[in-house]
Amino acid sequence: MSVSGRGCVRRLSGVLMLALAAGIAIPGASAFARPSKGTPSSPGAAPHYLRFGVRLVDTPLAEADDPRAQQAIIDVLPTGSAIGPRILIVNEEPTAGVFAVFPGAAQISNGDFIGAADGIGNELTGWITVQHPTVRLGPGQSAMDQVTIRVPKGATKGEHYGVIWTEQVAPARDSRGVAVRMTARVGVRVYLGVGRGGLPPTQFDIMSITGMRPAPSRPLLIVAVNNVGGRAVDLEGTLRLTNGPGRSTAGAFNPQQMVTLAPGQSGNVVFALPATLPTGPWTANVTLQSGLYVATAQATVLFKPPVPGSRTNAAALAGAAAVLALIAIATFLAIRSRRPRRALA
Amino acid sequence: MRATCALFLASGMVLGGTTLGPSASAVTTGHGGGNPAQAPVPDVLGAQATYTPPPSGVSRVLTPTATTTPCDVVGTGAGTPPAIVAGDTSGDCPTDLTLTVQAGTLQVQVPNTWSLGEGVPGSTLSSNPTNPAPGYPDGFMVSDTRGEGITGSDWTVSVNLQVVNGAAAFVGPTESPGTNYHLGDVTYDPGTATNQESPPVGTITGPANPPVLLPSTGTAVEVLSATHAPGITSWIPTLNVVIPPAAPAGTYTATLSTSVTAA
Repeated sequence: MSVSGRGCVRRLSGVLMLALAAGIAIPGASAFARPSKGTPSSPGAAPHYLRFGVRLVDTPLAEADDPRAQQAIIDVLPTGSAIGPRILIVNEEPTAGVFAVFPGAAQISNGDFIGAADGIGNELTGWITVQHPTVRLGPGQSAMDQVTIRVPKGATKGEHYGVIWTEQVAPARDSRGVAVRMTARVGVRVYLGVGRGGLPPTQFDIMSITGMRPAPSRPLLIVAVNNVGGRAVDLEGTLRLTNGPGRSTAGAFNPQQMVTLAPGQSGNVVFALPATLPTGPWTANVTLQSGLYVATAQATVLFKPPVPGSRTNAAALAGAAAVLALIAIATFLAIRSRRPRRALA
Repeated sequence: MRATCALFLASGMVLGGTTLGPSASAVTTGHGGGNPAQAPVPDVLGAQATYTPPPSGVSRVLTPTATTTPCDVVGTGAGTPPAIVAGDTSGDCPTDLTLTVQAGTLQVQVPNTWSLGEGVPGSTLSSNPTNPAPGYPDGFMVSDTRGEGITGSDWTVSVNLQVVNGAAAFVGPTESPGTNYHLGDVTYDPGTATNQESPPVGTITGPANPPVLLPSTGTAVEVLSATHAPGITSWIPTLNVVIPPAAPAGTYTATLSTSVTAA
C-alpha cells in the first residue's frame, strides 16, 4: 500500500534526498512479498558479527510526555485512520549489511510481551506496511524507514499488539557437524488501540505485597497487580524498605524484570533483595509505574525462611481437599441418579 | 482459587514468608496471569496498608513539541533526519506525529556463525559461540544508547528456532537433501549477562530454571529481561542439542533468531 497525497510526496522526497545525501541505496518496496522468509543474507567473506541498531523516531503528539511512547508505537486510532511513524536503522558493522523490515504478531502472556514465531501474523499485521522492506547500508551508515498503520473499517475494537522487526540474516556457510545459522532482530513494539471516544484509561491496582525467603534463594518481595484499565501496562518501579531492625532502611531496589499486562490480566512484580537482609519487620514502600501512571502502596512485611513442616501441612490439606472433592462428586452423582429420567418415545 | 485461599487461611497454615498487616485475610491473590519465571506467591498474602491511586483520568500531560502544516516535511538541523509533524485531515497521510529528539539506538550483536561441532548419536551436544573476529567482544551483546532518562533503558531478549519442514529443529543431513531428519530437543542457557558500565548498572534477569527449551513450534522464548540497563550488556549462551541414537551421520543446521525489543 502506497501513501499518496501532496504532503506525503514531499515527505518521501525528503527521505530519498536524505538517503541520497548519505550515500544509502534503498531498493524499491514492490518486490518483497514475505520479507522474513526471503531476507537476503548480509555479505561478508570473513566471519564477523551481525551488529546493528534501531530506534523509533516519531511519537504521537498526544503521547509526547509518555516515556513508553518514546520506544514503542503506542496510539489509539478510530477505524479509517492512519499513522506513519518512522524508525531509524544503523549498520554498526565494518561491512555492508542488508536488513529486512517487516511487521510481526505479538501477544502478552505470563507478564511478557513476546513476538510471535516467524511468519505468524494477526489482525494488526494486516494493517501495517513498511516503505522499504529491504534496506542496504554500508559500514556505519543509517537510514530511515517509514511504517504505515492504516486501521480499516470494521477493525476489531480494543488493543492490538505487534512488533516492527528489523532483521539481519547471516550468510550461509559451509560447515560440518551441527551448525547454527544466525539471525538477529531488533523490534519496535506496537500497542495500538482501536476505538472512538477518547483514550481508554490506563489503570492498575496493587492488590497485595508479600515478603518471602524461599531457601536457598534471596529474599523476595512480590507485588500482585491487576490491570483494571483499558490499555496494556509495562510495569516497573522501585521498592524502599524502612522502619527495619534498629530503624534501618534499605533500597531503593528495582524489580527483577518488567512485567507487561494486557487489560484484564494480573501478574506479579518481583523484587529480589540481598541475601543479608534481616528478617524484619520492615515497612515496604512500593512504587509501580507504567508510562505516566503511578501507583504506590505500603505494607509491613517479614522475610522469614520457610516454616519447617509446611510442605507436610500442604500435602495434608491437599489430601483433605481431594477427599472433599470426591464427596461432592459422589453427592452430585447420587442426586442426579434420583432425578426422574425422561421416557424414551 | 478464591475458595482455595479461604481454606488455607482457615487452617492457619503459613507458607514461606509472612506478611504482617491488618487486612491479611481480606486480600486475595491475583497471580492467575502471573509470570511463571518468578517465584510462586504464597497463599497467605499480605496487607495493603495504604494505597494512593492517582487522580482518576489524569495519567498524562500533553505538551505538543512542534507545529506545522499537515503532513509536511521540515528540517531539524544538521545531522538529524527530517521530521513529519502535525495533523492531517485528508485521510491519506499519517496523522498526529511529532519528532522525538533523542539520540542513540537499541543495538544487538550476535556472531554470524556458531558451530556446535560434532557429536555421537545418543548424546547431547553443548557449545558456546566462539569469538569469530579479533577485536570484537565475546558472545552476544545488547547496547542501549537511547538515553535512560528518556526511555528507561529497558529491553528484553527472546530466542527461537525457525521452523523448517514442519518443526523448529536442527535438520539434516545436508549431504542427503531428501532425508530431512530432525535432531532432538534444543535448549538455551543465556548464562550470566553482565552490564559493562563501570560500575555495572541495571537489573538483568535470566530464566528461572535454565536452560530453557526452545519449542519445536518456533515460538520465541524470553531469555533475558533488563531494567535500567543502559550501555553494553553481554552474555555467552550455551546451546544444547540432543542427538537421537538413530540420527544419520552428516551435517545438521538450524536458524536461531535472537530478538531484542525495547520494553
